[in-house]
Amino acid sequence: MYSSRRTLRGLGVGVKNLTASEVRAQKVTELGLDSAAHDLVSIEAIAGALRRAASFLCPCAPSTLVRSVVGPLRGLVDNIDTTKELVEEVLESVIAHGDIIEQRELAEGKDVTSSMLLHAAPPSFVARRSGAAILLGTVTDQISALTDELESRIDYVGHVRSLRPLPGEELCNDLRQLGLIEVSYEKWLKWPAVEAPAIFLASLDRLLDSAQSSREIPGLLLLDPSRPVRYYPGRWVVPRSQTGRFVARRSQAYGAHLWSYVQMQDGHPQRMIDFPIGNSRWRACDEAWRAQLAIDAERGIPQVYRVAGRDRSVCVLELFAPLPAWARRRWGAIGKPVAQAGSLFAYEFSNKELDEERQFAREALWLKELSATVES
Amino acid sequence: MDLAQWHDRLSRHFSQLQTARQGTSGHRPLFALEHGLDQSELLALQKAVRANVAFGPQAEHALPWIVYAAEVGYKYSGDEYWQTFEEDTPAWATFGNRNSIRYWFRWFHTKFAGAKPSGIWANHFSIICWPITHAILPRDLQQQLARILYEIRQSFSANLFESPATLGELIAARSWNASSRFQNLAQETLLVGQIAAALLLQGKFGTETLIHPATLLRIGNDLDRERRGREWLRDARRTAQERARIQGLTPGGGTRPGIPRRPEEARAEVAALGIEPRLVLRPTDASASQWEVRLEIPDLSHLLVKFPSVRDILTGARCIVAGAIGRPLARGRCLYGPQRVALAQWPRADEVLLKFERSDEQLDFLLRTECLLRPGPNWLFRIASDGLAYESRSLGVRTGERYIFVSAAGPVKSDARTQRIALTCRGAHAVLLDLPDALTPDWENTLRNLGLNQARKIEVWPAGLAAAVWDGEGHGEWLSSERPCLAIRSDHPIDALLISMTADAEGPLTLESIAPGVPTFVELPQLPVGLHTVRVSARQTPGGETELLGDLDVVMRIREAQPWSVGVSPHGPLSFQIEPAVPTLEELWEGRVELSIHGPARRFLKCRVSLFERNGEAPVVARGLPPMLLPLGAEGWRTHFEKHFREERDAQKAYDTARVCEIEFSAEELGAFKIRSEREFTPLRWALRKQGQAYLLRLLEDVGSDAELAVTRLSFENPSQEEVLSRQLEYEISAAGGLYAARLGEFTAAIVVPPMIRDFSDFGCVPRIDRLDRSTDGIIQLIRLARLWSTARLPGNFFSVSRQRKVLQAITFHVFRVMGGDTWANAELTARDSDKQFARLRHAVFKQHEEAVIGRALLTNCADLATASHETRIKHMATIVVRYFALRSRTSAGSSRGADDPAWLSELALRLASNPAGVEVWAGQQLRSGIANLLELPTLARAARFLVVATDHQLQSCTAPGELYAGWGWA
Repeated sequence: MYSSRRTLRGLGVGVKNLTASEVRAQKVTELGLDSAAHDLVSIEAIAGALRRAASFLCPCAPSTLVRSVVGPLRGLVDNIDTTKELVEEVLESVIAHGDIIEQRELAEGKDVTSSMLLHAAPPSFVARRSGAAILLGTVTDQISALTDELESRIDYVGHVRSLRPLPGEELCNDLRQLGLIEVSYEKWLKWPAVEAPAIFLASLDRLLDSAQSSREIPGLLLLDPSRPVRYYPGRWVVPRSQTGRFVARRSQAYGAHLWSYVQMQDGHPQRMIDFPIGNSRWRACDEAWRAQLAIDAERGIPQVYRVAGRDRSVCVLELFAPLPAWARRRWGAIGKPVAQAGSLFAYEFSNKELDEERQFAREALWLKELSATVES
Repeated sequence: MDLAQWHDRLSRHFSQLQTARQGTSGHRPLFALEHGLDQSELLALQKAVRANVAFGPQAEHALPWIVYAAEVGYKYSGDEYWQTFEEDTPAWATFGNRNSIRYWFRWFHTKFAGAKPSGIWANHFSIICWPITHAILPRDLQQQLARILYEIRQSFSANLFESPATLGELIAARSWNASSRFQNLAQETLLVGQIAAALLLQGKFGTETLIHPATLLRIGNDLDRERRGREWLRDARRTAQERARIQGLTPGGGTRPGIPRRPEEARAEVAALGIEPRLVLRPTDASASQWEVRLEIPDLSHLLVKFPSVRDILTGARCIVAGAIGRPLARGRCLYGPQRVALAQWPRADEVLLKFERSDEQLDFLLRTECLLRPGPNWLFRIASDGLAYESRSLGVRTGERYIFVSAAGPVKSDARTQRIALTCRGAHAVLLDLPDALTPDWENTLRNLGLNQARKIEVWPAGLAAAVWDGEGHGEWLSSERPCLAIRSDHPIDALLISMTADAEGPLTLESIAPGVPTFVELPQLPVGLHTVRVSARQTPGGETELLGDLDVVMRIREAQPWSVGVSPHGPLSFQIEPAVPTLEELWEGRVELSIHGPARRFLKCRVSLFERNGEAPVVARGLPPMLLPLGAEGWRTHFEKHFREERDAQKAYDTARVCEIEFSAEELGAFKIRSEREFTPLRWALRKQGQAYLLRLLEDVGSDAELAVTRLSFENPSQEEVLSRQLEYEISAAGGLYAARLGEFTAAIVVPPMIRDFSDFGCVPRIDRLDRSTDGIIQLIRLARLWSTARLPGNFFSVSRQRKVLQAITFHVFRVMGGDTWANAELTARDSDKQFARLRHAVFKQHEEAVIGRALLTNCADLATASHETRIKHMATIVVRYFALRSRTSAGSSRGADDPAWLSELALRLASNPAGVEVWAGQQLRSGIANLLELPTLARAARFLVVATDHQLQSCTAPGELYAGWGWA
């Protein structure tokens, strides 16, 4: 460190020309991944690049992280716009999983109206009964807070990182000793009490009834329940002449979207409450998506999932719209995230888990199962 | 084996070791811990020493005794060395002699070239510094050394290992947040460097003579006992041995490559550190019509490693950010990662962006070099896809991009192509430019008018993965562990690209057949820490002649990866600020710690407090406090700690004998952190314990000086009268309690022992101060008395706090009785009775009719001044001084303020009236003349006292810790 502007003579290497695939392979390796198994635009690599960027840039808006990951991919991928969409999807997975935490900006003198920004979660883990550990969080300038030996044993599946203990190894104890924070499995997976969608919506409606009148809200977008539940981006509409109660979102000057439940009259907002409500520990979007699940269920056109058999022992649960983080964590922990064409995201499970997860989807998320042959 | 035989054996061993070590270069002293005995031999030696105590330590047994003493030092963990020694050595208290231990260590230093302790710590602890130094690395400090070695591992080089002292300096610089005991050890840079090099290189690369192999193995094994320490040391060792292998270790004393010798070298070193702040604009509304100006301040901890001498200021002085409003950044905050500060005023061109409250020539140079705005008066910010506008280093623009043009030279002339925007920062104006894909003549004209130009045709960006920092134009920061890749693209056909690096012996890399718009990728070698420039040149060969189309320099700052430490990170969802950075147990207990914790609103933070008497043992008290709601301010923390811990009887009882307090905070997945406070470690100190209903006091003395010890007692009722006590091993304290003071040479230790409260009558206490002459000396005597009471240690019992406060208020009152006269004093006493009487107090401020206006002026502004800053109050008082006392400043602008400066004199009067204990340190050499001036202006003294008492009254005497009167805390 003592000799800046040091000559490169003697290092034995100079500037080298690389092909795009060589760059991709080298950067995958820098992320701690096997370049033979993963490409730079695999979910695993994008999740790693997002965690890495978060460790430098947080607190920041989602757009800053996406920019930081997508920018260096210029010239390395065929379609930068598609790649950007993929990075945004993976970012949502990473946030839902708990590697990155969305919360209001921590700033002296700023009140709760400050921006909603992303923060890098500290290195932590969730212990499984099997002795395995799900890793969470980021570390500035490092792939992980683990020793080299433990780091080399990380199992990367989608955005999820986990470690399995070796025979006789007390893995979780070792992780604690290394200074990682243990997050209890129950708390990490905690989800709202099961209730009927009508009851949940009634509680939201009561809050909205007591909200003050609202003026025009610039940049407001509504989630239109009348649009097909299987194409989430297509459900967002600009207010025109709608009347009723809607899940809505609006942009911040800088930061994540703000989410709300809004009463519209002829396309004009009358009342609005912002998510998250009260002392909720969940993100605003988690509550908004749950509200939309309830709205769709109450309209008799619930959101859907599909189970695709893969072989005798495993099946794949396919989802078509974003779900609250607590649902994604559960499925990420019980199964594993997999890429499945035609769905927004998917998880692979053992067939033994399927009945219980069907019940969870039905009771906690008010989802309806599509038969494998039904297409819409 | 008897002690004489042990002595002979050890003598032979140390002689051989000395001979072996003398054959090496540099000064490499011996340590008593390098005795070479195995565990069973050591036990036998210890048994022999204990059996011999009753005969008194004898010179012919010196070596077994010093080995014995060093072994006590090795397991010493910050508790009382001699107490441990006595516990391990029956009859030592009767027959032992500390001085003989020191004498023999000195003999060992002379005879065998044994290590000689040095530094401030060694001067203060003149006896125990020997056995502790000769213990090499006491067990409880081992984990801290392992952590620091891990943290600085990227700084290792073969050169560094040649010079243990330089390695020691590096460790000392990095130990700013380690325990005070480790910092004491780190003062011995040569010793610490020697230990570190030996631990890291394990006897390889010429380090086999640094520490005896068996001793080294023993320390290594002890370090291995804790997983984290083992991992830290293993990773640090791997890096060290890799780096040492590059050149091998050459003999010689080594150089000090960390200290630049010439100004240009220093400038290059500073630039390579990456401490340059960066401006970023952030929209405050969705329409982006108003922007906030933010200064991003990088982590300044890099400076510590490079320039260890600036450590005291970076850790101990607050940082003022040019143009920012609000309080300065807390002490040490710039060492905890990057900070973002909103600016309310655009900094001047010559204004250093970061300024510390204390000055240091070297730090000032560093800040003047790197912490200025780029030359103005115009600046360009490119709006990136994330909506933020990042400062460009040049005034070059690219088509299809959006920019903000900022000028500090007045409003920017706007036209149809520029959109005026507002900044939340005075002193600068801005317009937004949304450049089309192709520039029209109108656009070219607009750009020309603004002094902007089109950027170069070659574009460069980090390829594959983002750089740690990238400005979008050609300046970036990478980690030394990475191999940076760059993508290069030209927007027009060129024949070839030539890529070269500074001093690249292999010549430029030439890439031919470059298609326009298609990026080319290059990989750079793994670069050493520092600044590097990659030059990208475009070449065209029209008609066979080579023409260089232009160059682009990519400036790459390579830095070390920051080590991960357990705790919160500046990038995380939980953050805390604590001042001082490493508080002592006393500061924590007495509420003299400013702790604030930020996190998601309405989330709970768990807190567990544990008090320990000895390291490594179970806590004497451990208590989970009720969860606290985030965010938590300093006052909230103080109240919570006081209510749920300090006021608890078992905690108060445990505090008196506790040495360490650990407070663990956790907020589940948001993060966790721990604060550890150790008792202040001074060479002269009181230890208090309770036996039945009575307190017992014991004086612990590690000074080892020949000066005479004086012990006195001052009662709460007569707090200025010192009763001389005889020297005793332990003092049984009477029910009345009082202040116990011990003085030995330059050291003073005082403690306020609370009274025994048996019935209601014990609650009352009216301190009386004996009348002193109305003279400068008399006042200074009272100021020193206040200081003695104020700096005395406070046990856990609440009554020691309340009695100390009563005494200090009585002394302050008495100072103003002496200065302001009996009439004033009686009026102040009467004013305490009712609001009505208080309103009349102002009349006592003046004696002559023409001075009545002073009282009115003060009373009129009293309500405002109650909540005003000290600066405002001092200004107000100074105005009165100038207006009514015809006192004019005789000091010239820019010089230090003298005792006849109205503002200085006003501040003196206000400090004296609110906290006389702190006055002497603040006033320094000018105290005497300042007091003399005040005695000549009693009306000013009374006015100051009136303002203090009136403010306290206004704030209903709700004092914060450290305040005698509400609203009068002095930093």
